[in-house]
Amino acid sequence: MEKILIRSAAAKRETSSQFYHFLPLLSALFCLAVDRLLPMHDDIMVKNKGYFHIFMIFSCAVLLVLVLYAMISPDFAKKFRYRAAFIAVAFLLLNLYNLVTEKLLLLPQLYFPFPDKILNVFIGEHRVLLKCLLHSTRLQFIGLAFGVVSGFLTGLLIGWSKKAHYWINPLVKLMGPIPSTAWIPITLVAFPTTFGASVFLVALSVWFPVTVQTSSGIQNAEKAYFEVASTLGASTRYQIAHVAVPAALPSIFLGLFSGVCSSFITLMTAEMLGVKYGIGWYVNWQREIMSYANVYAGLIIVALFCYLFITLLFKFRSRWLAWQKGVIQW
Amino acid sequence: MVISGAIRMQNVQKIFESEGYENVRALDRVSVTMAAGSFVSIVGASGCGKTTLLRLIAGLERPSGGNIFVDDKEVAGPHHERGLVFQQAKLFPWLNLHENIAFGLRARGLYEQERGIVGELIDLVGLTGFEKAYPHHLSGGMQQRAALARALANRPKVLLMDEPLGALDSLTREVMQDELLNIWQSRGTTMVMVTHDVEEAVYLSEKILVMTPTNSRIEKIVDVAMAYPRVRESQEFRRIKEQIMQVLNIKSRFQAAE
Ligand SMILES: Nc1ncnc2c1ncn2[C@@H]1O[C@H](COP(=O)(O)OP(=O)(O)O)[C@@H](O)[C@H]1O
Ligand SMILES: [Mg+2]
Repeated sequence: MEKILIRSAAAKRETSSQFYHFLPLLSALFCLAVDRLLPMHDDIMVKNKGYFHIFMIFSCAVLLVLVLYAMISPDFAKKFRYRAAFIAVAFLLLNLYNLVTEKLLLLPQLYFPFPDKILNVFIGEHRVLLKCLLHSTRLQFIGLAFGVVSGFLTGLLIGWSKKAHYWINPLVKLMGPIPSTAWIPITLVAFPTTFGASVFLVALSVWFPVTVQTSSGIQNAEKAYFEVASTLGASTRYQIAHVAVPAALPSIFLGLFSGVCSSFITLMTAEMLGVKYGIGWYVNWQREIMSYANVYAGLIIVALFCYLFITLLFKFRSRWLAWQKGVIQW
Repeated sequence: MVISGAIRMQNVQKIFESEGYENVRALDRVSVTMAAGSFVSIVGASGCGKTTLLRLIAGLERPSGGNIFVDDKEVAGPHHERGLVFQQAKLFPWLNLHENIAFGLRARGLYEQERGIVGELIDLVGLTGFEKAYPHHLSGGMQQRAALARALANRPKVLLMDEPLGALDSLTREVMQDELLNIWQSRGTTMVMVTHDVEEAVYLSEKILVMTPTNSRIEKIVDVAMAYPRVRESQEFRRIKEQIMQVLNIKSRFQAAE
């Protein structure tokens, strides 16, 4: 008797989890239906180009493929089941936004453009957006490279040498907490080009956390590892490269992570200063001329850019720090 | 085989000074010689200065008084000719087993010529098949054996070991004791081992330094002249073991009375 009960409970769980697979697709179909069946609000003067409709059809198609794939791959099914509720709710919210903007116009249309209008920006202005994205990426990478290298070297110096710690550490402590955007007036004078100034600002915002985390990582490395290395015949230089740095690597990554996060903010601010092109510049410019659909499009790109960047960073991290237990999830 | 690695300690003292605390006299006027290629054990209750003595010979600590010579050269700092196996294995967690054992050779630029040694040592300590494993995947006993292999890779003249078999179960422990004897006899390395296991000391060593915590000195030096391999059940074995136990026990009872 008891066994039967257990089995039926298990079967029930099985069917309900099967049902879970369809949740995102159902939510997306609902969104598509609402968009198709309800007319646009009369007071909206802009034409609906139908991009959102196409986007939803595409989304439904993709989700259908995923559902079918989940049926043949148990591994993927498990992951998909985990994400299903999230995806379903995301489409539900998108549906809701479409409803209160385009269909019912419950929000002022100037500040809350309906989804089709935002998608229209991506398509109509893709050239400018792409150019801006490339510009930002270049600025970000150059600044990041300078910041990481200089931060790593400063941190190494402070972390290893007592003398350097004595002389340089107070300087780092004093300068570090100053938000890098506060340097804007000086950098604009000090650098011949605004691009140079922006690179410096991005580099500065990465430099501080990387410096602090590198030096503290080295100082907190277990002394015994250096002792082992020295009894094995490792020179000071070898110990720095093969004990101090790897021991500090988890901490260095923490610095890199927080540096990258604050550099995004610096990047956006720096670009609003008068650099021509760049996503920050674009968003600011569009905000000034009150085209909020373009502002949102820009912000979506910023969000995706940061997300991709940090995801990549964490991929590197889990490769380099495979030896570590309990790697932080992203 | 040129046997070298003779250790001579003269009136060695070690006092730890730390701000806000009373000074700790970890070693007091220790004078002892260990012949080149001999097997020496140090036994004693915890806190009597055994680790400190090893660290002094390794060159990781400077004596507060007295001198330490290895082959008539004064110890000035750590050197690859004096290998040390720490009480906790302290494998580098960012290196896998093979890389850990190769560390010394790599650091000294000898890896290309002598890479074969690494595999042999992994075999010797019974860790074949775990070359790619990171330390946190290895049990405590496996880590300790890996640490032994890591120290051996440099072919040190003196091998200092701080309770190297402490983390092993009794079966593996006896196997490893015989392995240590093999290594010692085939290489002529001077072995200095700290242990809290008196039987282990008698089974392995030619000379046993018995230390007591009351005055941080070597209380008694016992020479063991029995031939190898030794039989744990033999009369002589038991007699020597008993003799050492007595020194340790009397002292601890003495302490309890204080
Ligand atoms: N770095 C140190 N600073 C202060 N005291 C220490 C230090 N290392 C060891 N001691 C003290 O010296 C004494 C001997 O320690 P140790 O050599 O580790 O003993 P054992 O290895 O025999 O247990 C202990 O009282 C210990 O607290
Ligand atoms: Mg100890």
